[in-house]
Amino acid sequence: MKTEVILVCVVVGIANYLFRYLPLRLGAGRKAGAMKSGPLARVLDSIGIASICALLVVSSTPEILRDS
Amino acid sequence: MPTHTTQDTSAPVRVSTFTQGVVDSLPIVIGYLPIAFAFGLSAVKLGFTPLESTLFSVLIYAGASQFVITALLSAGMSLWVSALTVMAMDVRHVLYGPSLRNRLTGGRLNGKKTALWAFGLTDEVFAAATTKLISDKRSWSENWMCGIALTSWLAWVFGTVIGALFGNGPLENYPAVEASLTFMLPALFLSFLLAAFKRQQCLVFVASLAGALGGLLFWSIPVAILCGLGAGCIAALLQRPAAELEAANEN
Repeated sequence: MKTEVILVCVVVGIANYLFRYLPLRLGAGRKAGAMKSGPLARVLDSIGIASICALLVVSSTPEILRDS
Repeated sequence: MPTHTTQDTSAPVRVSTFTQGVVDSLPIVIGYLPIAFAFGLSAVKLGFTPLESTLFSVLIYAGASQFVITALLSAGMSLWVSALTVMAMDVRHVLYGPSLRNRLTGGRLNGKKTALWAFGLTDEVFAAATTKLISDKRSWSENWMCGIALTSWLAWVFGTVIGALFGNGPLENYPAVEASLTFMLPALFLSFLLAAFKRQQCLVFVASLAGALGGLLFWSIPVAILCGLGAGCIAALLQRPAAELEAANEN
């Protein structure tokens, strides 16, 4: 196995893990679900639906375009 | 006749277990296997060994990014440029943690378990968790998250190993099966959307679809995801809060 492949996997793997874990960890001091109103709460609430919609488009559109 | 749209808070709470997480991950597993298989196949064709191909899936565990990084490395791109390109693609994941935290009530995050399931917080697992929190917030648990994250990761790694070792052979004789597998992920996201959608989110829904479609037509898949997320967030800021909408509907 090439060293550069191992290195890139480790570096990107750690970065990806930190992208996923740190936002959960850094907010630990604040009680989960404490922020129930305001613009930031509305944005955070919308991320779930927005990401599902975006992922639906990127997973289906290339196939549809290819078949049309 | 009155309709009950809110959950009955006096009902006993049935917290989802690790095993339920494993069962609930099956749609993701079915969606992951063909893509991971394709990744294993593609990586070997680009000159990586089956072991190296598997290492990408074990450590990086991010669908589109893995295709991009193997393509960049095999094209002779420098290690750091390849790594930074892929990190830029995956930076959207920083939005998932705060979004999940905002939906949780009480101090329901355990440090050690969170550290485990956070590794598997991919787009699909995040979508499943969001759907679970929207449909039945009180049954969400970190054990359930560990089950869904672990099974999905195992499926991704297993699919890669099979693709890297056996190549294109097994599906060549079954073109109908091969074609239907490509629609597994869209079907998965559609089912999440149907389960999580609420009427108040119409504007976010339309804006996200339009943003992602625009990003896909004019730029690339990673940009399209960011465009969809950005458009949805802007729409959420522009639309009236849910409480105001409900009051307006009642009047």
